[in-house]
Parts: sequence; structure tokens; C-alpha cells
Amino acid sequence: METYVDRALDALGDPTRRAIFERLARGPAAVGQLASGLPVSRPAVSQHLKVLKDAGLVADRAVGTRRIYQLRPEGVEALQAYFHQFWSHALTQFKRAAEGEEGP
Amino acid sequence: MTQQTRSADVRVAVTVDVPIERAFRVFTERWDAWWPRSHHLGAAELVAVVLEPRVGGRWYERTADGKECDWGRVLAWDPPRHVALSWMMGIGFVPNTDPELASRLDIMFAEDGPGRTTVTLVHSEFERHGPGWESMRDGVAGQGGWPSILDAYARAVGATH
Repeated sequence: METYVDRALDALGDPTRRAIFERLARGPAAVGQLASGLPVSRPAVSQHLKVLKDAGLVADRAVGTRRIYQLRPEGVEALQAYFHQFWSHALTQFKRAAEGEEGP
Repeated sequence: MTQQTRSADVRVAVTVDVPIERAFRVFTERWDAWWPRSHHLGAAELVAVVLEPRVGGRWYERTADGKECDWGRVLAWDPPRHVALSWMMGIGFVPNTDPELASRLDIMFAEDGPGRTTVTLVHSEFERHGPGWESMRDGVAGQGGWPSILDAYARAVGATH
């Protein structure tokens, strides 16, 4: 479980992969569709998709000659973990700020 | 705390060694002092985060290029115990202009002894970000996968509890 979570969060740590993940959260898409909305090449998108797939966040299926990518339901869990990580980090910084502030 | 939390919520708590009023004030007024600066919507550098302190108030960022971008709205304002905000930002901090496509943040402040405050943050209603979320929620509904992942993360962030 931890290995899976670690890999998912590592995968989401990259801004381009996060963008792909966010795009797929709105619905399934082919590589070309994903590449057209991002400032990266099609082969680069394919590489990122492979990482997301290896992390268990994304699944693909063949539709005719195209390959359609979509989030795995478990991707939601990774996303929840992503926010959990974000808020944990933010609240740690908040603690530092609150306790470091002078005056009442 | 005994508040009811649905399984899909994100819940994080931190205890700070300051009185409740200060904890509330730093959280709602001093975003510059603690908000992770890499997390914002605009292309330019983040210069300010503003929360208008009233129900219906805006919560927004201002970036170095002078642009403002909405983060959400104030849904509840009950200093120094509770503030609720809508979270309009797309998942992973992408801009969104539709205030209806928003999840919800509840931040609760509770006295935990003299000069000590526990701040509990609950991020919920992720499904309101759009139809994609609904279908994904349906997908995981029967799996009961939430508790184990939350336990793992609770352990991981144990140091800040």
C-alpha cells in the first residue's frame, strides 16, 4: 500500500503529469488530445502517461486504432492523498508562522 | 472532536502553542506567512492572498503581474472558532471561473488548554468539482479503500498532530 501511494505521489509531483492527471479527471482522452492542451510533445505525453500508468493512476484501452486513457478509480485515492499531503505541509508552515509571530 | 466526516473527506489537524484568537488571525489574515507560495493559479509570482472577512467575501490571489484570480468564497465566518470556504480552484491548482464547481473547506479552531489551540481542517465535497468526480466516486464506492490510505497518511503526518 505504501509503495503504491509513494509512487502515485511521486508521479503527481511533476507539474506536467499533474496537468495530465487533472485533464483526465474531466474525462477519458487520447494522447493527441492530451498533447494539444499542453506545451509538451506527443512522445513526452506518452512517457508521462507511462509513469502515471505504472503508478496505478491511469488505465488505457484500445478504441479502434486509438488508445484512450482514463483515470483508474483508485486515482481518486491518490488525489485525496495529494490534498492530504498539501494540507499537512501547509498546516506545518501555519504552525511555524503562528508560533513565531510576536505579540498577542 | 466528534464531528461527522464522510469517508471521502480529507482531514488534517495541527496543534499550535498560541491562543485561539491568534491562531484564527494568523490563519485568515497572514497567508503571506504560511501559505505554500508555489501553490497558486496565476503564471506570475504570488504577491498576496486576500480573504474578505465576511460571509460571501472573496478569497483570491494577486500575482506580480497585477492579476487577481478567485480561489473561493467565504461560506461561514464565525471567529475565532470556525471559517468555511469554497475551493473553486481546479484539482492541482488550475484556474476555474465557475463558483459552482467548488469543493468545501471547513477550518475549526478549538482551545486545547491555556495558550494552546487545535486547528482541524476538513476538505470535502470533491465531487462538486465536476461530473468526472461523480463517476470516479461511484467507482470506488464499494471498495472501502479509504480507511487504509488515510491511516497510512495519518501515520506519516503524525509528527504534526
